[in-house]
Amino acid sequence: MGQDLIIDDMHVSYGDSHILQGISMVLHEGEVVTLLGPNGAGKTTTLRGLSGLTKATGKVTYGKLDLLNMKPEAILRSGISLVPEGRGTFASLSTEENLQLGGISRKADHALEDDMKRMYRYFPVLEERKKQQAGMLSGGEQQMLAVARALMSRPKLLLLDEPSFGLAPRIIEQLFDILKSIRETEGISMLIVEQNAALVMQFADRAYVLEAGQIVLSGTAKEMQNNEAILKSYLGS
Amino acid sequence: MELFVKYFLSGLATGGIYACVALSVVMIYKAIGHVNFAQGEMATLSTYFAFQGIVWGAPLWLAFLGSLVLSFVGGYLLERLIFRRISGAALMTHVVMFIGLFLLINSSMGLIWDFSVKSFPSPFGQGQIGGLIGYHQVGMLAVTAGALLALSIFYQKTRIGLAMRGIAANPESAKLVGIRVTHLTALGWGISSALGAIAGILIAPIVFLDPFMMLGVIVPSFAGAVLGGLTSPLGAVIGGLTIGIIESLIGAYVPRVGIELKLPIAMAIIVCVLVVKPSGLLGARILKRV
Repeated sequence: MGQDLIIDDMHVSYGDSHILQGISMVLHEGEVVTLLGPNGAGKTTTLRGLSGLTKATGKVTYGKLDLLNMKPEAILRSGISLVPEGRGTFASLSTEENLQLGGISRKADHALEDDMKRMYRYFPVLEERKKQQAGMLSGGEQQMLAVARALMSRPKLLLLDEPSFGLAPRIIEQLFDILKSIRETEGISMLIVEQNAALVMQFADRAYVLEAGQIVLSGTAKEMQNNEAILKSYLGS
Repeated sequence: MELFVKYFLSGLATGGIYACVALSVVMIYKAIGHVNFAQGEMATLSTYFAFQGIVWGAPLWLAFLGSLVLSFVGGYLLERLIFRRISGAALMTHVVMFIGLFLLINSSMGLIWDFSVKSFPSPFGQGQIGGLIGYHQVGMLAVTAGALLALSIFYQKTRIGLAMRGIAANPESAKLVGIRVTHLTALGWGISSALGAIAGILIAPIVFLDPFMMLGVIVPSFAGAVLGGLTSPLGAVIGGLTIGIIESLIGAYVPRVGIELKLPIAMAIIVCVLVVKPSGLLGARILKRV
């Protein structure tokens, strides 16, 4: 209850192409849900619509808020933070400044400073790279920076767009371990878009499969994992 | 040697003006990706604001302060009311808007204050220090240095400055961290206009005030901005100062160049930079996929 995210018949069109054709999903407070599907299915568009970057129609409520009529900055302030596709690094700024920007919507006080230190505890490598230009960090480090930056706004719901994209297996494992511990200690809900289904299924409570702009399948992660046919046809693993 | 020092200092002082205007051009270029041709006219208009204040009998400092405030508000509104609506439009749309703005401001100034050349008081008074540099030039250097220093502290040390750098670095991520991008873009226009006002007010006592006053300033300032790389605020400052010094020394030492041929020198520098190193001294090299 309370801070559930309820997506009801959400549509997005770019010009003539109808990318999202009325998807409906629910994400309960505290849950980790993954949205799977092939390239071009509309996964990124879904997250962009939820964070206000892309105009969407239909109805999306978060708690009592009507998200589709809100600007990105208002959605962020309501507690939803996106880790965007491609990491969205402020490349010319330092790692530290990237984190400061993550918390820029908040009051500058001790809590903000503490959160900064907390991020460095989750991601020690970021503290080592504190003064370096963020564009010079490795892909894995930039992904960690993107997660940390999103967490600096103290979100209650974290949206992650393909966090494993382009990373080495060892780094991916490390990243998901950190996400797990963040979930355990902070109780943040997460909606994770992934192509790497096998990986995210170990972490998620439930999953939706998106194909050509429509939800074609949903269930608990356990059900989905045990269903060989589903894995083969939709997830290719 | 004394002659060299004299021309060097005078070039440095004029270069400070170029640096301010170049920086105001770069600030807007970074925000919207276009060079505002009307930047010089905006600065001239700001100077007329101060002039009108003086005509009305306001003390100098009050007239100058009033002009700064008006220019800031004017720049802010210009973005909110006009340039916001064409953001993302094609290059030509912007070019036409800038030319339109140029002509509109230029003729309005002629209409209101007529086209005659007016003298403009220096807040620093007449006189020279050791025959090397005038009081006004020392004042120009001090004010431009102070303004640039204040701006740099604003960008490096304040949260609004950080947010504005964030927008320049990655506009979409800036939205995602909750920055009100539209408001801050307009704020950038305001600061840029106020910077132009400082340049206009400081140069007016030397070149005198008329609606075309900034034509001789804007070209070397563009040259400074291009030399610095168009995307780098520090580059704009270094570029502006360099152009001022080069111009002054060439005028002094190369026969026949004198004052009349200063503009071609600036133009030649623009062409050379664009041909040899388009990204300038400190600019980001921008690759576009085709």
